[in-house]
Amino acid sequence: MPVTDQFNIVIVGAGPAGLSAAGRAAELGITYLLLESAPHLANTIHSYQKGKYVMAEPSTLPLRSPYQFSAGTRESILDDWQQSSDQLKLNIRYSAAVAAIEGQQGRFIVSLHNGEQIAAENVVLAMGMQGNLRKLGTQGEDLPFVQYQLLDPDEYEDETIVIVGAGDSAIENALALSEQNSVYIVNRRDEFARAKERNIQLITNAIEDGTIHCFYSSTINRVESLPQAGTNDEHGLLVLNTAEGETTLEVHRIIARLGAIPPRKFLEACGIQLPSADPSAVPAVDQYYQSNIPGLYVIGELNGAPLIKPSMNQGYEVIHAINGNPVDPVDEELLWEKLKQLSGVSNVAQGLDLLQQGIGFLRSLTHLQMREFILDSDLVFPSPDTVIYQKNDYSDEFYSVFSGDANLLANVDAPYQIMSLQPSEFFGEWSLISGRRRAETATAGNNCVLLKTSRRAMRKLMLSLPIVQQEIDRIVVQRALQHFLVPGVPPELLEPYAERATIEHFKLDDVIVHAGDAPDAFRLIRCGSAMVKRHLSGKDVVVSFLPVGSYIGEVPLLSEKPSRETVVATVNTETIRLDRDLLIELMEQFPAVRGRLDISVQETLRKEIQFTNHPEAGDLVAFMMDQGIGEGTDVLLIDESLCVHCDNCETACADTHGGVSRLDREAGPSYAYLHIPTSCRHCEHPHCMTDCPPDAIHRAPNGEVYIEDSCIGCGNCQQHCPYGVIQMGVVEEKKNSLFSWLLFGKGDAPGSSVQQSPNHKTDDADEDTVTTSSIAQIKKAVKCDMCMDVQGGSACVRACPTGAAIRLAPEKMVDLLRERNRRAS
Amino acid sequence: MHESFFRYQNFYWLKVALGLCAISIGLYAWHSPQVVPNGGTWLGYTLGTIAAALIVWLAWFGVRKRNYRSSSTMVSGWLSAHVYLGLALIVVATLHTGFQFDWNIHTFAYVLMMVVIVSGLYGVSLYALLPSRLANNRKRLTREQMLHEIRDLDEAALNLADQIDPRVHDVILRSVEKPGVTLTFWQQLTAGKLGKDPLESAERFLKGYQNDFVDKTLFLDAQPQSGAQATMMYISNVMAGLEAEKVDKLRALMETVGRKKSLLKRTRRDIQLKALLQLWLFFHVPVSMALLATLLIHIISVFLYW
Repeated sequence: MPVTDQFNIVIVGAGPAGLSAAGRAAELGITYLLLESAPHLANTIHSYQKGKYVMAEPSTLPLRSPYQFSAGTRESILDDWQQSSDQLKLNIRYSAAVAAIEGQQGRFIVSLHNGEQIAAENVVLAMGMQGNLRKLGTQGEDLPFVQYQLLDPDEYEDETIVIVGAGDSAIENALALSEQNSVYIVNRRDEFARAKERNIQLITNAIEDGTIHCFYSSTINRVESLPQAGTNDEHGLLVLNTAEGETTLEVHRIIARLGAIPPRKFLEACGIQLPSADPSAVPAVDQYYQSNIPGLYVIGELNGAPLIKPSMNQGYEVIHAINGNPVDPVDEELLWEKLKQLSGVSNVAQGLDLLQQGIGFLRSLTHLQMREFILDSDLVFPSPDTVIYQKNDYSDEFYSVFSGDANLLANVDAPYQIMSLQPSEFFGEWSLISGRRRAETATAGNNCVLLKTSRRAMRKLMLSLPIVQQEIDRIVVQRALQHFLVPGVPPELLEPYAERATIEHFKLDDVIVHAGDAPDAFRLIRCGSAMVKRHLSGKDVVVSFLPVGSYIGEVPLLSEKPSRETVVATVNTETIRLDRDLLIELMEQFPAVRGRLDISVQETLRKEIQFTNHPEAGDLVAFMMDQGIGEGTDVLLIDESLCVHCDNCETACADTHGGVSRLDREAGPSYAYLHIPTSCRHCEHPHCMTDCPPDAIHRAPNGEVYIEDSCIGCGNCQQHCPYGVIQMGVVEEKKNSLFSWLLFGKGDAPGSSVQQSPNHKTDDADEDTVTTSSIAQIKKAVKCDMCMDVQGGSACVRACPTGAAIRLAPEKMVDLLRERNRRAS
Repeated sequence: MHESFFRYQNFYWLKVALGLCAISIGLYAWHSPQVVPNGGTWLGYTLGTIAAALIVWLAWFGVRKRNYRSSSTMVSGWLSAHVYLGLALIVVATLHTGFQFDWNIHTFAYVLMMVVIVSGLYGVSLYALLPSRLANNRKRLTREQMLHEIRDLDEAALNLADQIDPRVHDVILRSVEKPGVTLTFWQQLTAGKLGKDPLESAERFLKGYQNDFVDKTLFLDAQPQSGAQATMMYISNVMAGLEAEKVDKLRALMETVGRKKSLLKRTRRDIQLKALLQLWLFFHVPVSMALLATLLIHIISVFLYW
């Protein structure tokens, strides 16, 4: 067949990268053709589960593309892109799968499966990997009831379905299908670790309550079809290798979600070299995305950029590169804005290099990681003696000293505890790790230049680079020892001891110390909290509660007797562990340790006597821990013996917060006249912050966890919150005069709820048009913000007529128990 | 920590109120006017002005309570002051009258005031007593959960009844159709027994039915014979009868109905307690309004006729 057309650029694949490239070529008036093997745009997004919410990460990265893209549902994104393509009059050919690419720059021949040949000067491969899904790799992998995608889970009903895989898509499919079907999930490993935290939680719950059955540590042996199956019978037989041996299962359907790999054969046939034999290896490209073959470019997922937004940017940039006018990376300008403040820096690369040399823990970051990290950080230049943060503030930024010096004052009353920090050192790590208040006051020294990084960026970095985590842990241990155990000793002196301490992680309900354990270790809680239980007259009685900064095991160690108590983590908890010998060495070297321990032992014994005299107080602690008070920093508590159920607290909340009450007084558990209404506990490590696409959830210096207006209403936080305290609501600022309501019946009563009608349309509005008023009515996440914008503090507490409502920080819990004990006796 | 409005800031307002009473009584005892003590002497005017100001300020509580953005004070402090100063009003206003009572608008204003205070006292006593009872009665269930559980028990009962006998099913259905939760005003307040409660009759019917059933099953075929064999037969008969599925189901149904009955009782008690906590205000507030109007007439008429 003759060559039909001649183009400057042929782009293969109409996904985010390909569309963006084609769109930019159209804008620049370059001749191009976009080839798409599917009969529609963006096949990968098209094959997402219906209504799936698509994220636009990294949020700090600007978008550079003729196409719009922001986080939203699969449908809204596809509609947007289709519209933009129509406007750009995109030169696209659907159902055009590429069979081969031959030739060289200026004279490429692109052959299609239908035999047609197209001539191109340059070729851009933007086909992603989803066209090459990883299959089961066993006998029967192509049988008709074995599928590798799931579009609409509602299509299937009353079927036996096996999901293969343990990633996010496998879990999401399994959960969606389990509503109407009997679902099994096959996991190669003995746990779900690869997926998002929330998905792991959901699938584990579903397996625990029996909605989904899981085969752990199992692989697929083979798939067979069952002969003479009726329409409603199981079609196939799945043979599994499980830990206990071979198991067979009759199934209607098998859905394998095993990810995708690059189309190696095709790439190699094009002449593209792959750096390794690993099936997941992607082609290496230069800074303009050009492969080893001049004129043949690879962008998007196929060169290792799995996210949508960076792929779209690459599409834009590659067209400029081909056109001979390459552009700087999109974040260049943003980085320059930050880095130009440094003296003697003339370009971004130099600035990044300087920072990396100046701040030790950044040296292990790759070029791209460094760019992303600095995008999430700010350089600050405080004048000498400026307070960076105050002791007991709840702020959670992390600071690295780039030049000059900074001072930390652990205790304002004892000036000898000032610690001077030099370049490359950092501070603010305690609040980052513990989620609690600042342990010290930080002030700027002379010529101080600091790099200030958000909690979110720091935690992300620590997760992706264990070496950074280790470095921060090292300093945390040193300073925690100094702060909580050996006051007044410079941390350098403690370094040899800190090196031998270890960090232990405990999950909810994990036992930290068993009763009867030999006294072999001393622990300091650096995050989370724990309960101490003792076995008394046949049952476990809670005898103490240990918040962040508490010691565990000092009494058995000093008395050299086995522990009489069991210590249990009440939330995810981390401890710094010092073995017995290490603690003894410390005591010998620094006698002050003994003083600290003495005080703690006395306090512990006093508390225990109190709890033992009032066993019901222990039960109350156990109840409160069950309700997650252990990880809260400020909790609303109602005394049921005072509450007259007038709901003035709810009304006050609604009145001060746009007509939506953020607390539900009646809901929530009670114990011994203490009621915990459904209302935010302002957790030390807020679950709601886990996955907020616009990064709209923050913690204010006074500890309030609040949601900014930039909320997009995705509902992630609502799903993450284990206490059900976040609602999606329409907030409307309206104020009614009490008297016009009272005397003339005008408007609603103060504090009454806003009508919740998200799809409100005006009468004369066209069915399909969204009126401005309905845009204003988009539901957003709302939660308690402790009335941070209301003068005088929490409206719920101030509006309670009988004094039944109070707010309490867990460290004040002992006072509450003391008071209740007094009342009881 | 939790601090009830009674104890607000260590009984601050009780102390203020007692001080006000003491000063008023002291002045009254010390004062010896030329005429019979009455509202027209300088002390009478002083006490009257204080009392009138107090009444207006006490009524302002309703406004303050709804001013949710007010930042300065706690509503519980206001309620504390409202209660103690309201009680002090008994002393101040009574002394203001100089014990001069008659059939006129002035005494009427006084009587209305006393009615408001007494109704307030009643409200305060409810506030002191009922919250604990309400909590005890709920046993950690919310109203919503109680109603939900009643619905579940109804379903379970219907299901069991269906497997026993159509007559039983009818009776249970009648009790389910009239759940006895929506109550009249009076029923709400008394939480008393409802005359023809279908649940009560269902329970009675079930007891009778069960007796009949057990009688029939166990003893109908029992022939009065003696000897070891007859005894063995008798025992196996009884066992067979007791094991009969129907007996189990009847027992389960009786238990379900019993549980629903006790839960229904708790729900009604809950409704009653909450109604009691609210209803007195429907008296206290309107009479306060009437008092304000009467007070105005009292003041104007005093000045007009003087």
